[in-house]
Amino acid sequence: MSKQINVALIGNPNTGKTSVFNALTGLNQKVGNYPGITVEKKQGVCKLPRGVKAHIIDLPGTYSLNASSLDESVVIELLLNKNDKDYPDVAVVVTDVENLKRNLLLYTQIKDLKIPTILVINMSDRMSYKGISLDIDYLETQLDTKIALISTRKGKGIEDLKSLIINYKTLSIESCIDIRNIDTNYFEGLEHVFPNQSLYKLWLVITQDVNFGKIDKNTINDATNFKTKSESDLKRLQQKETIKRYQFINNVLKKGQTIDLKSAKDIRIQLDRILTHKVWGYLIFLGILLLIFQAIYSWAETPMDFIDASFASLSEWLSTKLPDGVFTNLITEGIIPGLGGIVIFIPQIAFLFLFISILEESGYMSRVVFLMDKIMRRFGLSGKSVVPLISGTACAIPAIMATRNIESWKERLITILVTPFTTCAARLPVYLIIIALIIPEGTLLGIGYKPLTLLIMYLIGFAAAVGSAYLLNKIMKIRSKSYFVVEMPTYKLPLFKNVFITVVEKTKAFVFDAGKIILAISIVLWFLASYGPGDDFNNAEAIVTEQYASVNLTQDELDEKIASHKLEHSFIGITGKAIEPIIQPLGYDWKIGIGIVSSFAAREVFVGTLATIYSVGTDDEDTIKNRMAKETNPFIGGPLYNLASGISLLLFYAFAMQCMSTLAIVKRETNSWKWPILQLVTMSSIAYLIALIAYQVLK
Amino acid sequence: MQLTIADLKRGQKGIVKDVSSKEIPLKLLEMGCLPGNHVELLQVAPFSDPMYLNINGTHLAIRKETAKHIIIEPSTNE
Amino acid sequence: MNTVLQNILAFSALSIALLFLFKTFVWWPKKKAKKACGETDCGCH
Repeated sequence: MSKQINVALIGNPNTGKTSVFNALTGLNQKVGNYPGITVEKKQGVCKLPRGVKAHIIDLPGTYSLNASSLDESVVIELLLNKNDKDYPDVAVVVTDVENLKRNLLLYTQIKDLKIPTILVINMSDRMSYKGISLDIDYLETQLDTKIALISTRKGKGIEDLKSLIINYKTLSIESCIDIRNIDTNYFEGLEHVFPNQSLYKLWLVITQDVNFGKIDKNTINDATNFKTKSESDLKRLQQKETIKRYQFINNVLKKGQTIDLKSAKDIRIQLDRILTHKVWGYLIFLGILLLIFQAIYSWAETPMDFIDASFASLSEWLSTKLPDGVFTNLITEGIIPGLGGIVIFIPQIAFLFLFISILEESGYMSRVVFLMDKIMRRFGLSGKSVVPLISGTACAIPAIMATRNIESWKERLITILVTPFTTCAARLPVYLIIIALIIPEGTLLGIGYKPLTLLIMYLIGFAAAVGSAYLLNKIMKIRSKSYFVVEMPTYKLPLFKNVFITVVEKTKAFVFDAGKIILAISIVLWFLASYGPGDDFNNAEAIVTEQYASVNLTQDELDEKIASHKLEHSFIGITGKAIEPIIQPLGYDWKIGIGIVSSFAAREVFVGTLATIYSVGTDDEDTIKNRMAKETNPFIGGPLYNLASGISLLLFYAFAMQCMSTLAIVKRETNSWKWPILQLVTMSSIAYLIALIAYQVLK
Repeated sequence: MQLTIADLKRGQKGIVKDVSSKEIPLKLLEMGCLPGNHVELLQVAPFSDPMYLNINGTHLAIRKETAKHIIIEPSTNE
Repeated sequence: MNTVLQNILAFSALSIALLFLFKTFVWWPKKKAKKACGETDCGCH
């Protein structure tokens, strides 16, 4: 017998389900995706006493088994499929002591699936503060289960939960509600046709359009065609079911829970009076955004300079220690500069994830949704689009996935289409290095020119997103019902452990996913830059030596001339020269052109690409920034990166759709190639035009 | 004319009477918006939309267009 | 390390890189979306 217990954590959003998961598994967790869809799948392992291991899966937060989004349907699909390898031996339903009544609705549904179910009542430390007292024995009898009263904040009750999990076989699997009571005739008819099936499961299959075992909606409809229910009948029955469940819960809680309102305190009301205020609310939101940008810029600077310098010296150190040869050159000129281009941005990406996770954990994000809904609707978006647009500043991929809880398809589609305009972390590397090169030191009203430029780039991103949403809303003819329900949770001090784990996991995922691509591209680019066809490349030394025979050059200067001649006639040089006419009007040379082309795999490749190109064939180890500053414009002379070409490059990156992974996600989320292709073509054309205008005006 | 949540002023309370309109999503009922439950308008965004409510202890925000379909009666103890 | 070994290592690195890029960017539409949302309202029941 295997000693592993499959445990599913289920609960409403904002019940601290993730905290329970983190408390059980610690850093012993793995985040992946469900096969075929991009819903985040979090799993972990928890060691229980007596050598038993629990495999814990943290299901997406849901208010009920009546799924209203892709995330939620994952929950029901797992719970109906006994053959799934993750099918739980025991379900742990996490509830919040303050919202017990509402949270129990989901509990009664899970219980009716006849899965052994443990009830966790979380945030028990707030009970006295809220004037709540519970009769646990009574609740356990009435709800027919075992209850773990825990507080993840104070670290209490986790051991109790573990011992309940280990003894899951003693739990009752009786259901709470007899679904027959909702419509006796209908359900008895169903029972007649499928005598061996659980009626509640059949009911879910009918209403949720999911499969279980061999039965799906159509088999049921075929078998019961004598009384198929219309859509509105079904909805009426679902309403009735909900009312029945609440009646049951109210009866249980009438005796099991007492709330002394006099001793209850709630800072939510006071805080909301300010934070959702018509004027103060917006000012505070703006202030928070400003704080984030200033912080990302100034706090991350020191570690970034350190990383940049470390990579340069690592490369130099390796080239002296390793034997001469092709592979050594590949490492010191290709791989290390390429990797340095991504590692350097870890501090900033981590800070960005830190702020976003604090905003979400504290409950403030819901207030932003509330404040922004009316404004966003003018542009065809929803208040809930604010969350994707803000998390889009980290990465468009999770942001596009975060659109799933937008109820209206049109609002959701528009949000998906415009989110890639927001300034994602992958643009930061490009922005930062260009800003460092072209924007002078100095301050305006206490804010440095450089952070100010960065802030403007972020604003341009948001303006592009919102502006194109407005146009799309006018153009697209999709009629869609829009529902908007958003819970306003209590304010909570973010748990350090939760925030820490989020930052570590997300930064890791970002760096490794992007890192693999960058590493591979660096290797390929190095080869393309180090080899070339024909005489021009292979006899470079002879050609250049002869060319400069009359001029008195030192050996170093001559070597440099040879290297650049080789680069120009390498495979990459030939390709770059071929596209140069297209990008020359934007103020770029062929090397930047190669950077841009390789950026279509992912933007952050740009810096790594340039680093690789500039370091091929050179012996002196220098930072990427210094190498870029030394480049001169081959057509008009002067530094290649000046104000005009720099601004043009910044704007190009602000608008262009250069991320294959985002396109893949958009395809998956919209189930059509139409939308990602539209994004790619439109955004990149806009980028080219704007960059062109900027350079021609500024030069 | 029937009184709905959209008619409430900030700080006013009522009791939910009828939620049978098709425009009300099931999710709202599941969050406790059921006949007999108390509702209080806590806060409104500019132009009274969306509306921030406390229904039966659950704090949530809905748009005015949905609020217009939730029929209420005035709270008796006020 | 002699020249031959250096070449072998370098070119195997290149092959791995090319294979990886190909698998990431060319071969990805293999995975089938189970129930992604189309042109209809997604999941508004």
